Amino acid sequence: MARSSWSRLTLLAFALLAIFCFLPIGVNADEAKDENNYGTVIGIDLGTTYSCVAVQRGGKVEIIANDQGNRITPSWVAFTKDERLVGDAAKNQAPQNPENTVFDAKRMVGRQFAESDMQKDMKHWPFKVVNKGGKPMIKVKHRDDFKEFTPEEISAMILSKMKETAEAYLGHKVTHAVVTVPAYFNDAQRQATKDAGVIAGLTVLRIVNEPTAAAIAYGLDRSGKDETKIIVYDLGGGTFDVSLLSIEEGVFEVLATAGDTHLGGEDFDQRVMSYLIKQYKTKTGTDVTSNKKALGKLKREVEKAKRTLSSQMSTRIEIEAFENGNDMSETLTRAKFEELNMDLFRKTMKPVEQVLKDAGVKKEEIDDIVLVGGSTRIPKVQQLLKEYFGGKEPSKGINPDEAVAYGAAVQGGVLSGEESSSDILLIDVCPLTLGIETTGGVMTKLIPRNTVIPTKKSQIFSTAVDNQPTVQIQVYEGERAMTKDNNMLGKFDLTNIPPAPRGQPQIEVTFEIDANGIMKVSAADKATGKTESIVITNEKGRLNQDEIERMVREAEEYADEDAEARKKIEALNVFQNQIYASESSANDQEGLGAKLSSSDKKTIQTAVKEAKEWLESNPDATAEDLEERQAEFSSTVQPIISSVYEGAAGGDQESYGSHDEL
Amino acid sequence: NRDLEQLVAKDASDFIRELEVERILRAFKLNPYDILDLPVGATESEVKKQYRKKSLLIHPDKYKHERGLEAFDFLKKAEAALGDEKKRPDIDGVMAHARHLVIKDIVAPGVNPSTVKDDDPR
Repeated sequence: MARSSWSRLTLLAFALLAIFCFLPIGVNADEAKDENNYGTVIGIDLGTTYSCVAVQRGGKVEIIANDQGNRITPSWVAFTKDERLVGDAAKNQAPQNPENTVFDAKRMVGRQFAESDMQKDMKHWPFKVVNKGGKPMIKVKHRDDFKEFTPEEISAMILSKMKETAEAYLGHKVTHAVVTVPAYFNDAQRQATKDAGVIAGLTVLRIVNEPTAAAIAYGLDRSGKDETKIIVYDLGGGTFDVSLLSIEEGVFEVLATAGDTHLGGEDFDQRVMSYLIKQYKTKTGTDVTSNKKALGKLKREVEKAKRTLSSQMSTRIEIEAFENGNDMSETLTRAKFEELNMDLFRKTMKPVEQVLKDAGVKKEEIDDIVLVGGSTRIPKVQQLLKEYFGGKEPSKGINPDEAVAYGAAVQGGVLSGEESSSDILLIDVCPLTLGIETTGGVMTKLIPRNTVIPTKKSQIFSTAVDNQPTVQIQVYEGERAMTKDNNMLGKFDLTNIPPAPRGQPQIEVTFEIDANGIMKVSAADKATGKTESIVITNEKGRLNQDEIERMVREAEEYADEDAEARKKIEALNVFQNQIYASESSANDQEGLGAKLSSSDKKTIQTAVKEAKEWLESNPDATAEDLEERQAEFSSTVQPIISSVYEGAAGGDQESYGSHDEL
Repeated sequence: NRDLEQLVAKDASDFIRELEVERILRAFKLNPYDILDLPVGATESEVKKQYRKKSLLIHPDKYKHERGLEAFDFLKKAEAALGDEKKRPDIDGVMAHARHLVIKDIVAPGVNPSTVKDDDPR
């Protein structure tokens, strides 16, 4: 008896103990859920010419097709009298609306208006770019108003489109994303891309380098094997990257990266366009350089021709009504295409040499050359690479258009703690050397390029003159010895340094690069023990918080407007269909029409006439107005038609033939 | 019940990760072998393998720790130092010298330290 109650007590104690043991875990898990619940993290490859979105679910990566059924979406945005178009719809209407159709936003993000690349690009763009406080702004006409957009806002519109594509596929809201950028993007370009995410209503969990993301797509099913060294050669629509990676047991480590943020398919197209414009001028005497519509048509055909030349030796470019009613017809051979771009193709081999040198790897040690980006389909590019690597054939195992988004989705899985991603890790590097200016305009390097990120480095600096109360910290990125040749990221002052002879104060400057490759700099006066640290403020380039908030609001307004426009079009379609169906029924001599009494016919015909007149006189009707008017129309017409149906159901079988009409 | 099991497993692995971060932060910073938890003289491929194994454990993407970035930075620098053909001989030289001094300190005076059998894996 006593023994049994004793054992019961023990049991109870154990049970209690068990509860205590599990409680903290449960509580922790709940807290963790709130903080780290990102939902489904999507991967977005935000390209210069095309974008792609992917998602990882249950260990499988899926590339998501857009509403047109395409797996890649043009990075184009167009503004018209009635609506804003993004993606395929924007690109398709471009030749009719060249001034208000925007592309190449990626070539503008994080750049200054005065940069030489910007100035050169602007000559080719049919849309207008204006200078606003040193930053480029795109000026377009939208709904009869002139509007100015930052490149970040245009990028945000494309990101929103990709987000919507994913949401439509997943059937729920998406809030977090991994977005890719060229590995060779600098600090300002990365910041700007992150800001674009915020404007689009997305939390950008991580900025991932494009070649690194592509390497995941290549190496995922190879993990577990011995160490593999690969070169990712990523030649896209607007940018070029080369990265050297080592892959072993799920760890993808970038050893070196190099590239050119302004080289890609767009430049090849431009060369061909200039050539064809010249040809046309010699043949016809007409210069089309200022005819934006003609150029828009030419651009579209040249891009097509370039693609064709990857599989054929020659193609014809034919444009009906090219300018002033005249047609254009030209032959373009692959040899000519290569000749026009040979210097650009050769230019891409330099970064390949650079990464091998930086990583201290011989080209014979490279196991595979992975091709990414649409421009790697160009046979000459593949041939140059093959020659450089002593006849080694580049790998064609991955889809060059989709690999980047695929990898971004996998990294999204890693960051959201997806179980299937538990043994995958990306270790990336910073592409540019970071340093500060010291006496005489010298670039003092703090973090050399190709340093593994995230990283942190501190160095002690001092004053240059006696009793110097302030030091100015100027932060630069670049490889040159003098700061004037490098790119300034920003500057700040450390004030209130107590009077002391020169060289005595100890100022500790700390550089921190996060996993996105974005930098934070702080300085502290060590001598006084005062750890007054200042986060870098980039006076040029970056959007400030107020600007971003305003843009977020505007983006939401645009989204509302778009939704409203869509609703209106849908309502209009439904209404018009109903009008036409009723009209044809009433006029029908057989079938349904034959069963209507003449007074019913008249009622319907009057209703149809009134509805048509109403639509004509109310072009600005909202979706609600339309629905209301449609309901009114229905209430007149519907009872008549239903009564005929009811009659038909009881009797005449022959009338079934008329059902096809409906 | 399976959720619970997963939670327990996750907690257990987080515990291992935390221990590893703290071990690295405690390691003797001038000795890259100690940071990597490898015997002196480990081969280059052993160094790389160990570095990757530990990265999967403690990289800030894998485990959030207040000083996780610092620990990963130490790990990376230790691997880089041992992977550098120029730095490696210096490090190994310094390590050998240090062992020599330690042994000299523990053996009886008058005994030549280089005659002592050195098979301690540390």
